[in-house]
Amino acid sequence: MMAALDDLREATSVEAIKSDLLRTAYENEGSFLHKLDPRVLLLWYVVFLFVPWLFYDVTVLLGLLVFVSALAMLSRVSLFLVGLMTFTVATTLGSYAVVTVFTGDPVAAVRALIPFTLKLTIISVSSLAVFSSMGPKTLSQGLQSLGIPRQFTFLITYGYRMLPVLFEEYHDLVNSFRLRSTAPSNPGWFRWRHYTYLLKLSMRAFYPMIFNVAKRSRVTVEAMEARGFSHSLQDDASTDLRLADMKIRPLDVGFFAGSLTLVAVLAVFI
Amino acid sequence: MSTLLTGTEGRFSFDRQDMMVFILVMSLTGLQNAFTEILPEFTVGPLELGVGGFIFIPIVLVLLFRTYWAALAVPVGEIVFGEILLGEFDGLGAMEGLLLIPVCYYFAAKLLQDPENTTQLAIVVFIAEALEEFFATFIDIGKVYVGVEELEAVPGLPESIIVLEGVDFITQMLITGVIFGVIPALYLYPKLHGKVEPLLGMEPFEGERGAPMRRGFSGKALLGVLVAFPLAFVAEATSEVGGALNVVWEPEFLVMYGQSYIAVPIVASAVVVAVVWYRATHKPDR
Repeated sequence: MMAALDDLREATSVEAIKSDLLRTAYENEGSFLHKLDPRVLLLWYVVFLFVPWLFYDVTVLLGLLVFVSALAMLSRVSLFLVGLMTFTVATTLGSYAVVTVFTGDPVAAVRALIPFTLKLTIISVSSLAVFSSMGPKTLSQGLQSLGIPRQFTFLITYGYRMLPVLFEEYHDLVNSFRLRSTAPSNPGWFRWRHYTYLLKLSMRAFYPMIFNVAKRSRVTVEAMEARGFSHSLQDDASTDLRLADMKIRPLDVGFFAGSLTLVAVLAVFI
Repeated sequence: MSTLLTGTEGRFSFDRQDMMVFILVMSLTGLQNAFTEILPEFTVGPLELGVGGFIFIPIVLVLLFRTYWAALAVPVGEIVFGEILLGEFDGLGAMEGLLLIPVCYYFAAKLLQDPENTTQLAIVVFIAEALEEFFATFIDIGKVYVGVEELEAVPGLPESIIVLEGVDFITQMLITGVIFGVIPALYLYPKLHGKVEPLLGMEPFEGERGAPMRRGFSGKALLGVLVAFPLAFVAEATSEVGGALNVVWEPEFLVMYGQSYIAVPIVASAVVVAVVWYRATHKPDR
């Protein structure tokens, strides 16, 4: 029992969640969806944003949910995110039920909300699967080939690169603030004094962080200019070179056609 | 530094300085977002009791730089760091933030005329957060109305949605808007004003002592807010268009063709595929 509790605490510690999230963002090199062409994947995503809204039958929706969940499993999404999503879905339904107890018929309300919630869940799960299996490079290539300006696709790659660095830096700042200050001697009820202290501290730690980031963003832009970033924006040859290694292979077409067939089968036979 | 200022033609030009500000605001908003995401939170359905975000950071930065691009960097930072990176991207819902946050923040930032006037600063921060939160609540309510078929037929459901969203609006304004918005912003803005801008090679905003807020009232920015709201609503509702169509189609369609009406979405998606494919392969000459 204690061991199970310890495991739970271990799994929900900030450090574990942090590494879990960073793993979602980076280490999906080998997953199935990662092998697909980014354009096909984005297109598939757009199709699956719309598909759930075409059905209202709970069985079909459940079938779709199973399908996208299988894809999410294949792309090894973070358990923390899945847990968070399940919790949100369950509490949303629950809170509507509780409030409708006072205003009307809770059973009918939940029954009316279930298809809607299922649709939203299908979309969330497919987003999880798609975006956690696309690396920064493939994602920005895909977006660029669909016409998003390069300044913005650059920002995505930059974000991926910088997030762990910024996280680390921020963590260090918080720790150094903690070293230089004293925690409240009396933690109070439910340790509220302790948590307020930590919260205040983490807000104050943003102050030096802002200057660090300002300096870094200036250096970044100047370095990019030195390498001819603005110049390359107008150059078609640069764009072609950047997008040259994207290829649509039979696997991509098969995946796309297979998904649509599955949707059709679900719709016709169930 | 003068070389950095070249290339400022046109209203919507995006020069190097804008890029620096964009990266700065985007990174900090993203970090703030990713950090508060990890913090434990007490969420019950649409009700969030917890640190929704250190909203004072993006607002103070937008107030310092006062450009539309700075305001646009706020939702982009949230999307890139908090959603795409962590795989929580919710598609068209992100469009809502992308359209609403910049116009609300930009509109509010323009209202700040005297940076040393604390009252003005507090009001501006509050307006920025209140505008955005108000529209977001409105969209949330509308979303359920569009998405749930025969909502009115279920007794008590519409009322409960409005009650829950209303309570959420109030708690959000209190927690995110005041405790993590106005109060820290009052400390942070004077501490950063005149210090961060020179780091990026820019002049700090001087304003005018005792200038009234209405001088900064920009008709265009207000128009932007009024245009962005319906657009954001359409973006949200588009994902529910299928649901709306279902209501119209359902009876006759099912009787006539049974479930084979599935051909419609497949044909539709094939058309989308063809269009996007064409766009991706045939680059227009630039």
